[in-house]
Amino acid sequence: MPTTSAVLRHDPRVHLTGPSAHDAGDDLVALARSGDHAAFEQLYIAHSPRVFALCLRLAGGNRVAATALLQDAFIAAWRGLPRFRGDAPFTSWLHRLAVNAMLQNARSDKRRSARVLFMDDSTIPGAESRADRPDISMDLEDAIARLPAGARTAFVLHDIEGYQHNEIAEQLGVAVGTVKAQVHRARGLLMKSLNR
Amino acid sequence: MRIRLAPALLILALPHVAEAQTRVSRSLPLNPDGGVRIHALVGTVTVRGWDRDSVTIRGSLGAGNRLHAGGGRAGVKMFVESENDLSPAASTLEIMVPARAKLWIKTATADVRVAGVTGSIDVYVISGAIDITGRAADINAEAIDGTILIRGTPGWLRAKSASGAVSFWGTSRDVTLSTVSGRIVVDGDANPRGVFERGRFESVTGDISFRGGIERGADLRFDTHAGAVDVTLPQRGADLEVTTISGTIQNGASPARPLAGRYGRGAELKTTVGDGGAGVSIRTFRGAINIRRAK
Amino acid sequence: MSDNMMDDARLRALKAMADRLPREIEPPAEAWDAVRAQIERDGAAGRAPGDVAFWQRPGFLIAASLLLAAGSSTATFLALRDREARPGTVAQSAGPAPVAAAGTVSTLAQFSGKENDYLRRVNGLVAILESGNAALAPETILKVRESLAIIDAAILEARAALARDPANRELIEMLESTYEKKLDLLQRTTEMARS
Repeated sequence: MPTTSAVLRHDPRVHLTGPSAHDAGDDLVALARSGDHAAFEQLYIAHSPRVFALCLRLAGGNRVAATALLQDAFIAAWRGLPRFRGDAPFTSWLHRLAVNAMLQNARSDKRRSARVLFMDDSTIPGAESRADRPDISMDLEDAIARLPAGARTAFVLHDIEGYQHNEIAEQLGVAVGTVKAQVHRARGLLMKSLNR
Repeated sequence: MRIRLAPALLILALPHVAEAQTRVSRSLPLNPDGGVRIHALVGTVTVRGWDRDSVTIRGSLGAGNRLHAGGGRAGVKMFVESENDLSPAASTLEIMVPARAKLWIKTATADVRVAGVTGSIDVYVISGAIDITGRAADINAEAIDGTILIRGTPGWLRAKSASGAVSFWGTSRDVTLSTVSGRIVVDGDANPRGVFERGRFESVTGDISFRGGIERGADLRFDTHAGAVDVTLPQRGADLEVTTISGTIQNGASPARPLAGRYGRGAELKTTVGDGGAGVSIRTFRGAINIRRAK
Repeated sequence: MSDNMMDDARLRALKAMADRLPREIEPPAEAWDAVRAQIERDGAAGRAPGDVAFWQRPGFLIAASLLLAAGSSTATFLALRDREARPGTVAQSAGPAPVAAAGTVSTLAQFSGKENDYLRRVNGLVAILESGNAALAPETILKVRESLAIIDAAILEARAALARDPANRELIEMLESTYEKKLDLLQRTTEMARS
């Protein structure tokens, strides 16, 4: 097994996306699994932008919440490394941990489920009318952030991250039909927002 | 009944009118899909959906109680405040809301009844009874000690109680019912054309009984530590995976006989009943399992 | 253009926009600090990934988590304390000593980390409920205690069975499911009592 310094001689981000990305990534994972902090840090450097993009969208654009999800996902990854068998790409595994972190936070948050649509006036649908903010142009990121939580999660995982309906259903613990309905709902709301 | 009230931030936050009289009658405009938030302590709260863009509150307040209500077209909040929070008097509220409203109700011991609301419904009760009827888009009902009865065809259902019974007479594509010691009863025959697609039925010691239509490709799971599980499969059948660590399995749905479990304890059964196609998993630690097939 | 064609066109446009969204967004520079701090804490406690420290063994944590159900669970706590013979062992049951075949210890070890997480979270919630910040009527506390006692009894029963059959994945899943119920009950009670 190569030493950490041998693996880290090159910029890991380039290394992990080039032709030998697979082997270099495997080496880092193996080193990290043995307790090598430096190797794990390199995995973080290589993968965190991708995971943070997911976390930021799942958190509705809230950077503080997204950072917490990112940290939870990587801490869970560190602790779960012995269970990572390499059956799926490391990035996919990190994504699962990020979604799990979001679900855990949702359960322990005052919003017991994505179905509770409001706890204060600012989240009541329509409470903030466009008349109050006439100069705001709704680009897609902004529109996604404004989606109801369930629709946003389904849209981000399906239409942006490319997961299948059944994969999303399995991880969220809902019916496939529910995921399809949420994706459809998200698309409808987004098209409506973007065409105003 | 001693309940310490949270600080009256809700009152300060609302543009409100406090009702001093015992009888209550208020109306507030609300969008068809607006939000309605109800906070009541003791007594009864009955909510019905109607086809008007307004909320009407009628009822009687117990001695020393005051109703605070306010909000805008997007959302209305109401709160019953008691002078004597150590022993609040009971109030009876009847509230009409737009049928598509999004409801959020929280009470301590007040019973909650909801009918005719097709939006989303969230109800939280410590020890009152919850009774919801209709075709809500989604229902989340939680009690600590209270019973929960859901009737109808919600699109999505989550119902949890610790020691209270949870009963569902109807069908839903996506349902999770959970108790610690309360009994769980699912009777899908109340909606003969409906089917379950995803179901989770869980308890620690509460018995679980189920019958109803199951979608082909469905995923139903029954999980209890010591409760008895009684499942009646539809005529179409299902693919069964049944395990008990130290309990028993009675299979009256097909000729397949359970096998002894690991180290000769408990039992396991993996079989297809009828045409199969729907996944049904039943697991207990020591609860007895009984499987039948509808005639 | 018909309505359906317009909808299809708009949907294609939406998908094209979604495809153009960046797949990577640089996180805040300080995000790594908390992660590093946690893995260093794990390391200082003598843990490699997946290991658990002796002071985080279930016996110590279950004791704390039973405070809320103290009256009905004293026997449970004492039984657990007596069964935790020394660091590195799992709770022994009254039955035959566990037979751990090659490759099966990893199943228990995998769950230990998760179990400690559950217990840590349970302890946190119990602390909130016992702090008095969450106001509950005595009758409600009694009901919650009864339910917790039922759950704890189920946990102990499952752990005892697992000690005899450590490779039983079904048992581990059942145990995990029961922990989830305990956590869920405490979370719901805390939230209902707070607001």
